[in-house]
Amino acid sequence: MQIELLTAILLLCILVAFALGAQVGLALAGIAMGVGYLVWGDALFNVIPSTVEGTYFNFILLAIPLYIYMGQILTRSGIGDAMFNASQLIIGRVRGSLAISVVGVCSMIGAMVGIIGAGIMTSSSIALKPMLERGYDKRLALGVIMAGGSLGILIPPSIPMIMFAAATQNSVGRMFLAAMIPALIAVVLIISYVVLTCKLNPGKAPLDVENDIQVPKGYELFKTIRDGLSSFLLIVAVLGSIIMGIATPTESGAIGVVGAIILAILFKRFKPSIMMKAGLQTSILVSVAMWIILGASVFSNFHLLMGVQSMVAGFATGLDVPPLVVIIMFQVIMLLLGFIIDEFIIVLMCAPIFTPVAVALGYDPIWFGVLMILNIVIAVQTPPYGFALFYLKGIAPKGITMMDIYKSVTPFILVQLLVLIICMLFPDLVLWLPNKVMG
Amino acid sequence: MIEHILQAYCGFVRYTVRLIGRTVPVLLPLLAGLVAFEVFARYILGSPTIWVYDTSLFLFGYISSLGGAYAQQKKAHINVDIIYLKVPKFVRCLFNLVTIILAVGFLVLLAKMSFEKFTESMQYHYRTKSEWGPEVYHFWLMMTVSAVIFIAEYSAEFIENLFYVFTRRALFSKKSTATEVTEKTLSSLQHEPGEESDDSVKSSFKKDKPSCSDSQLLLDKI
Repeated sequence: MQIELLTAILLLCILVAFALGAQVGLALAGIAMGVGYLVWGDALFNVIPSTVEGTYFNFILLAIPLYIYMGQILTRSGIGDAMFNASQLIIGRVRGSLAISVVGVCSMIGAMVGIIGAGIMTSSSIALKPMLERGYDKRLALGVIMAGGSLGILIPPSIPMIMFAAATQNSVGRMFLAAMIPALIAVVLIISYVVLTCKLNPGKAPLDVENDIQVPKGYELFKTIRDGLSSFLLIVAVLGSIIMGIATPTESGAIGVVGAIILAILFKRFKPSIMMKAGLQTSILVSVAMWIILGASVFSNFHLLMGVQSMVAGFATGLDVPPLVVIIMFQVIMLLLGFIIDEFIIVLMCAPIFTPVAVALGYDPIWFGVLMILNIVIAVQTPPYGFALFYLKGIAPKGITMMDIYKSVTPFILVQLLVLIICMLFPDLVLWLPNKVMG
Repeated sequence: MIEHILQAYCGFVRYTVRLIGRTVPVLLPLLAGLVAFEVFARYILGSPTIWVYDTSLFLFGYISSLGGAYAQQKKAHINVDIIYLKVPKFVRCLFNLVTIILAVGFLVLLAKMSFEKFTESMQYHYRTKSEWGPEVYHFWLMMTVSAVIFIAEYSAEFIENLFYVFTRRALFSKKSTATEVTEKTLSSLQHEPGEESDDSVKSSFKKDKPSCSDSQLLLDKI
């Protein structure tokens, strides 16, 4: 069977299975094995053990449970709230300070949690109520939470980045470093937008003084600063150990877990029940991630065996268009995929197919990986079906409609799209830091 | 009579899956501790180990594979629910029947191939390619078990969906879920005073830490 026809059949089966609400990872593997059996017979089933070995004996992917566990301990012990309160102490007098804190802190929380859904839900639970209570415009409040929470996967440590590195045999450390400047640009642009909006429409973000809200004093003040600063330093230490070459990304995840436990004990926030629930939740999230990785890897290994890579490469070169147009085409495909599937699947399905083509066109795989992550950040919050929109709707108070959410995210999506375009046009912005630090 | 047998089967499966799913996280602190110890051994003790690498990978495999069935029971696995949530329950059950067959098809293959690898590993003493090189047969046995309990969980869901399609009512009433039915029957044998149901843990969490209870509950939901 020709690869074009096979690909069309596979895509059709995937569309039907997804429409029926199938569990994504197992559905992908089931479809690959079912269609593959008809084409190749049972010899194809040998793909399964080799994929299992490649997936589970992978030291890079071992970082996933450790980062999720660290994030769970930090957020469950209330250190996430502490970061939020501490940032308010610094910029509390600026109009729109809560929204600015949300962008900064929620992107940090999103980075700790490592998964968009969990990032947005955690961020909303910490920040949405305080903003609405202080009279913030609901669209501004919802928009900054979505922007901050989803930026989490662009800020290291990020689970999709680890997946990209594992799927394309690239360095996780380089990926983390490469994403830093784009993440910084995104955070700065979003904060600038918030400041400008609040300046033009002061009613959207009343000052704390106008609400008569007191700043903590004495021991409370010390506690807020101590907790916020320590959790920030822990994240810096985790990233620092990778960048300075002291530990591998996986080992820094473990250092982060130990650090989070020590912080929780030192700040008297440690409880066995927190550890139990953090462990249980981590185990569920890791299982979800790994079964998806296994299923998607079985699918993509089968598809690669059938020669999809040469089909895509042949198609891309046969178009006779400038290489950048091919990259833009890939971005559009991933953007459309983001409407229906989550970040894990996009990375696992697209990275092994698109990255070699991008490299063949003369582009750096790390640059392409960062564009892919940026693209996913945008795709998952783009109306009408970006799946992150539904997470936000799930936590929003009654009375907030889907249309409110659509309107709230639109300006932030445009800002993030601008960052994507900047990074696409100026690859040095992405590659300068990893080249400088790691050579 | 048949309804009771089905209830007992589904309840037993759910209980077993839950028991395994709630036991596996115990390995997480061990995993983190081991990997952190390797850094400590390298820099402070000056003697890196050869066994942490393989042990941590095995632990990772155990945690992520064995928890799959429990994640399914908690409806944590990701699916695309754009159409799924908009159809009536009857149609949803039909959808479930089709997708369960698809998933079980792969899981059966996974169980079969893993079991073959297990017997092969036992016979030829397959080892990892690292310096320590421990035998890998237990990993393949664990993969087989993971696939089997996943299939068992899906079989319980298949029965529940099929029951609804034929009778238009749920196999378990809202007051007595599958897990509760079995827990009641097994509680006299295996009751642990410290163990709480998910809901009670959630509510106790709420009482303990009101400041972040919302985020904890939401994280649980994801």
